[in-house]
Amino acid sequence: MRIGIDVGGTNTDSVLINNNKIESSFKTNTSEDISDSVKLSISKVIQNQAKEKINSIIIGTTHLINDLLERKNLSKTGVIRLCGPATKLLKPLCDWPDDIKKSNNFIANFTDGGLEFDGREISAVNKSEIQKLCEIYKKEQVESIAITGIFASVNPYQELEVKNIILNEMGEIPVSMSHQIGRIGLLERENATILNAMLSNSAKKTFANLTKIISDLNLKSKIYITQNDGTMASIDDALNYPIFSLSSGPTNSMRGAAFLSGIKDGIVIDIGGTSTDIGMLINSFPKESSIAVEFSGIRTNFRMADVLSIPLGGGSIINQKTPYVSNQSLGNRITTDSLSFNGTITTITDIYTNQNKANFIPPNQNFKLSSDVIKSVENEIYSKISIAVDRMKTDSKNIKAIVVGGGSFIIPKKLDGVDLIKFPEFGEVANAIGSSMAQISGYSEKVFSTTDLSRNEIIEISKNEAIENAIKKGAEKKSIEIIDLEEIPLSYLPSNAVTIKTRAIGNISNEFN
Amino acid sequence: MGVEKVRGAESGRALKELENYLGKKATAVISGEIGGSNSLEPLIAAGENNIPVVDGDGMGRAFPEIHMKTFFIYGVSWTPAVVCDEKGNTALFTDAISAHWLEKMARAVTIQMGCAAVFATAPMTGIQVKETAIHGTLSLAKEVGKAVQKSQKNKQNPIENILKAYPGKLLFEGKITDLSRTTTDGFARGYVTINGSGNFSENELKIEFQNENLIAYINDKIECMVPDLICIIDTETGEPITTELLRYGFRVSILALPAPKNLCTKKALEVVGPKGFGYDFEYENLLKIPRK
Repeated sequence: MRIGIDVGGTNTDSVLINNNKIESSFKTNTSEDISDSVKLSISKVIQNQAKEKINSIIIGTTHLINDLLERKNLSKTGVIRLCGPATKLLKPLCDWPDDIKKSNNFIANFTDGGLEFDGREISAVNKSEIQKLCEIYKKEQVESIAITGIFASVNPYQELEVKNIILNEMGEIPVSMSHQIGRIGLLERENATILNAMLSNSAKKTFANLTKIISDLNLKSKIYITQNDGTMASIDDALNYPIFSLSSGPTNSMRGAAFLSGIKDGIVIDIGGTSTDIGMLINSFPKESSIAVEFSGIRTNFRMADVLSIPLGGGSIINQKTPYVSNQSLGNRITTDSLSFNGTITTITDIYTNQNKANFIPPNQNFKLSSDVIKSVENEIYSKISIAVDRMKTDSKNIKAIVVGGGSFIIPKKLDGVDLIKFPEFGEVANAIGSSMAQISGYSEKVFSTTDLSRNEIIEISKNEAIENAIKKGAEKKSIEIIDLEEIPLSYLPSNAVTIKTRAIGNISNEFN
Repeated sequence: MGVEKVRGAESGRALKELENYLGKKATAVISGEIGGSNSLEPLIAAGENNIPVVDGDGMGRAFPEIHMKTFFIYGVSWTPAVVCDEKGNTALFTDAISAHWLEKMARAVTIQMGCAAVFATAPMTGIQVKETAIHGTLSLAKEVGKAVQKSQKNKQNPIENILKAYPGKLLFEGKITDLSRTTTDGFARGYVTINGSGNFSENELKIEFQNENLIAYINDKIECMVPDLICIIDTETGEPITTELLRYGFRVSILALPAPKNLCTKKALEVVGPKGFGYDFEYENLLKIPRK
């Protein structure tokens, strides 16, 4: 059996899964110290079960992103760009928010190294130059190091070489290498690599904390952390690559919706109290965003779920005149200030409780809303969600919609461009279910020249690399499938250069259920 | 290539190498093409050499090949020219029988340099710059950029604001539904089809491109042709979508902007009109919008 937990900003959701069936679920407010709500959640969902049956606990958490936003627990970081004479006009951290940049938390240097697009060296790694840097790092008590080489994703050997020199000089120190973290796009990949390095303290603290909770509860289960892309990482991997676990909430909810509904391709509408998150599911995985993803003002080129968040939820406040649905929400004050809870403010929820269309019986039903207002609000919700769904669709065909989240009762009976609306059971804990369903992925991204190899050969190399990477990370070979393959021709290059991006996913290979 | 091997200061050196060969100092630099990073490269060269930049360029837009620069169309010599990389390599072209040949040779060198290099060419007198360049385009690009930024910041319609900065016409609005793209000889050729929405629903627009957008058809009728600009813009953000970034499902607005006068003379149209790109028809002014 396994437990899935999602520690969100407001709620902590948890489920116990046995043979892909939900045994129990639990939802509670997230406590100040997340340990309390995690501990409570685990004890609740395993109530009647023998502890040794719980093989794994898979956790999604917002802890790291909170530390980043609050600039807390960040490691002092050495930043190395292997570039030789190239790229020097744009220094590392050049586009970062001033408060982080000026925090004296970084020592950044250009060094020899770097590759051309075809793998030739711009210049070779200079061992003594790196050794000298290590002396400075030791003196300045640097805690973590980020290495980024030009075109390191074509061939990572220079980054590996530099890492080895550093480990020899400094002993155990976390080293983040860009080829394991980001895609092509030097500055964005460098940013992500630096973020990863500076989150290593935060990750150490958070994950050590979770490990302690599990052992306090006398559980022998393996612990996994869910990642931004719907896959999971072992605690060790999560410690090495904290950036991949920075924002897994939206993905978990979409993956959970896919599992609960049995729908692999469609659109997920997650309606909460404040906002509605909408994203496309393609082959049970969220469609990724094609534009740069920012974390706390820092630009990266991450693989992240492409989720459109609109200000519409059960707590949305109703205006006196049209348009009735405002962008403001009562949030968690809904249970004290809304009409249904004997308050004075009209919210979307009140429109539905008033017609007995909500999924709960409110304390107060003694209020009357005009049928005109009710009709207008329903029309506005219909049009807001329809427009958002259409913006996220990838083609004009009708699709299936899966509605999850606490506010799902506000969804209209029909939506434009949608031919089926499904409300799966346990939809309110979809996030935790998504956590429990996380898989293992492998990725490959490289620039090829089509003069030497045929298109099929190139694609085969790329697929194999993605599969190898998935197996290396612990995926079960026979369950692996290629879920994404993209070709991008690089114009102006007569050698017909092309970038191929491939992703493979599979179930985790060790015993799970 | 530019996203990975971002620019260094090599354009400053390219200018110095050209000066050394000529035995003369440059008093100013000008952009060869007001498109992509080419528009800003002269600012680096000027900064490195402490000289001013002329507000203008040699294309008034982007074109795929160097013989399409107005400097050369109106008689400036394309040599001597210099190609430099960040490693310290320099190639000097003293003679080329055509701008096209210079392009071919410079590309060959550029590939060896790692597919990113700086090109300094067309040494000109002040009078030549005045007569052959397209003027004011650096400021114009800045104004268009500001319009987009302002729209994003104030949640305004970016398309309206762009058209205020560069008067032209909203040709179409819709969603990309088909895309064909092949890379041959270093050029991305293909077409993109857009299904209309809003005021344009039930209509279809097709754009044929060769690195840059060349001809726009609405329901098979030509509505805009090169050298007039056909710009594919993200409807929501106002960001430009280049041919490399085109992708199925994008919601886009298509703007038709009148090309500067210097690109619409008989002499220029032979090079940068439809015939210059292999079409068998003559340029026709379909926009009826005053041009600068």
